[in-house]
Amino acid sequence: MTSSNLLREAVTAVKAGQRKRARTLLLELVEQQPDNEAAWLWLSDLVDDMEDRIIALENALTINPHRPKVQARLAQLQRQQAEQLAAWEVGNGVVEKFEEAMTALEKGMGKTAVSLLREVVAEDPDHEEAWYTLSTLIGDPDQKIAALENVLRINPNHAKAQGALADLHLHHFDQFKLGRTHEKNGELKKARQAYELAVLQTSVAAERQAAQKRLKIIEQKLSQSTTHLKKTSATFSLLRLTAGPPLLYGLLLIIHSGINPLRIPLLFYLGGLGVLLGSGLVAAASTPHHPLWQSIFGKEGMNTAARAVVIATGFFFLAPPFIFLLLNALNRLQIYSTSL
Amino acid sequence: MFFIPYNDIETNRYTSLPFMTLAIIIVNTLLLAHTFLMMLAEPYEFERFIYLYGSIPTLILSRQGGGALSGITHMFLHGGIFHLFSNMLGLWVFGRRVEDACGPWRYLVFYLVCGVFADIVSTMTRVGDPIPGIGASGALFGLMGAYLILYPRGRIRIFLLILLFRYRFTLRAYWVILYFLVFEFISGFQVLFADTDFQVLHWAHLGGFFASMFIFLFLRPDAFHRYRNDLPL
Repeated sequence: MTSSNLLREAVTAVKAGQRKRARTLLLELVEQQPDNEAAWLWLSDLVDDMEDRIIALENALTINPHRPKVQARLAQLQRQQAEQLAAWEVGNGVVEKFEEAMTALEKGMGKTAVSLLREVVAEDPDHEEAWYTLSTLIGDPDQKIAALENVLRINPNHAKAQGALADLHLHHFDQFKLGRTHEKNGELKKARQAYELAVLQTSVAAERQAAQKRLKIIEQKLSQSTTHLKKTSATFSLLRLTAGPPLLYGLLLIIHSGINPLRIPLLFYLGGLGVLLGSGLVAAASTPHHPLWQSIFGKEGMNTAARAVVIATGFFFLAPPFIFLLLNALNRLQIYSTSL
Repeated sequence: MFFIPYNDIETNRYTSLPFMTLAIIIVNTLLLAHTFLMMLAEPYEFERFIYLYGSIPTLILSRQGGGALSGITHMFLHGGIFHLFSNMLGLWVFGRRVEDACGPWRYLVFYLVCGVFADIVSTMTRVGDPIPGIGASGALFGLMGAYLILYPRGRIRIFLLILLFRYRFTLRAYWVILYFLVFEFISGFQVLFADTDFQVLHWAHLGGFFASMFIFLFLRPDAFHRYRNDLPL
């Protein structure tokens, strides 16, 4: 076929919507006639690749440079190509960073992964997967919500993000569950705050008790982590706990003596010594790790059997003074009752 | 108007069952039942029973009667169902957590200390009074004082009845205990300075309240450590 026929056939094919046939004919034509401007111009509209379009227009301008419209069209295409190239370069960097973040996550380096993901979304705010992955890694509920909202901004039909956001909005106002979240993240002070709010907010007794229980556990954990607590010595505890029964004995003696300690017989004072000794032994059993017991029994202090023996011995000294006092009181009562 | 605390909504730390508080309630109830039966069978015996085991200042000061024994027995006797019910309700509300902080046996000794101390104070303000004093309220005020020391912000459920209107709400313990203390102090000063004669022994209540300072001798070592370090009990 002659070149003029090829051109005519190609144009007819274009008008008939037969782009592929037209392209084939035009390519055959430019092989035969590389300086056929019309063929290059028609070809620039028929090729899909931007690079090929640009080449076709450049060839047409080479043949005839004085075509302003063709020049404008070429400039536009070249601008588009430059923009695409720039976007591709950014995308390539973001892709690498995202892959690095996923690798870090697989290795258990959560903080590194979060940091990289934040860079990814800073460079590419429409990176849906990066936002979603970030939302699963961030602990702070407010930031989680923000990340999930970004996912849904990019893809409103993202089912997992929708579900997670709905849960978060529920948890955000459910202080007990928020407390559990903080507790799992090791944020004990935030957990305590959330549980305290949960105790105040709920009107259901069971929920309040559950929150109080978690609150006590958190406080125990927090107290164990502090090192500035005042220590109470075992000796002080021993002395403190020893004082109770003698106090009761002393008050009973005061009543018995007609609220006049000078009228208390000496025997009762001796009984007081027995109460003191017995009380001391019983109190010692309550402080089994006192250094004295550790020096006798070893580092573990008083064992159960030893404590039982010490308590029994303590009651051996403790009980008789009380019994004697009460028997004396019963005797007085019997005398008084005969007068009634 | 009836202002009735009827429950403490806080949970215990060490034990869930307040068995000593329950035991005291049961003993008091059984004794009241016994005195009622006695009253039905032999009214004279009932009166004799109260005079033997109640706290009578004239007998105490003259070293007659039960002496130390009456110092204990008087706090397990009550004058009627309302008297018993109000004291045991107060014991239930305030006693459980104090028992938890002390342990059951130290709690019993503390309870007795408060009751005997209350008896001593009451006797000193009723010199020459031949009427027996009975009831657990001296010991109860001791428990209230201990509760105020250990759990001032504890939440107490209140039932309020004004004419025919009923309200239920929760108050902090310091408000509840302050409410009762104000009445006791006012009445106590009336007894001392205006020579007013009440059926209720207000100085026994106040004496029991002052005895609550001894709570620190009865706390579990861990509870004392927590109190000392401002950690929640």
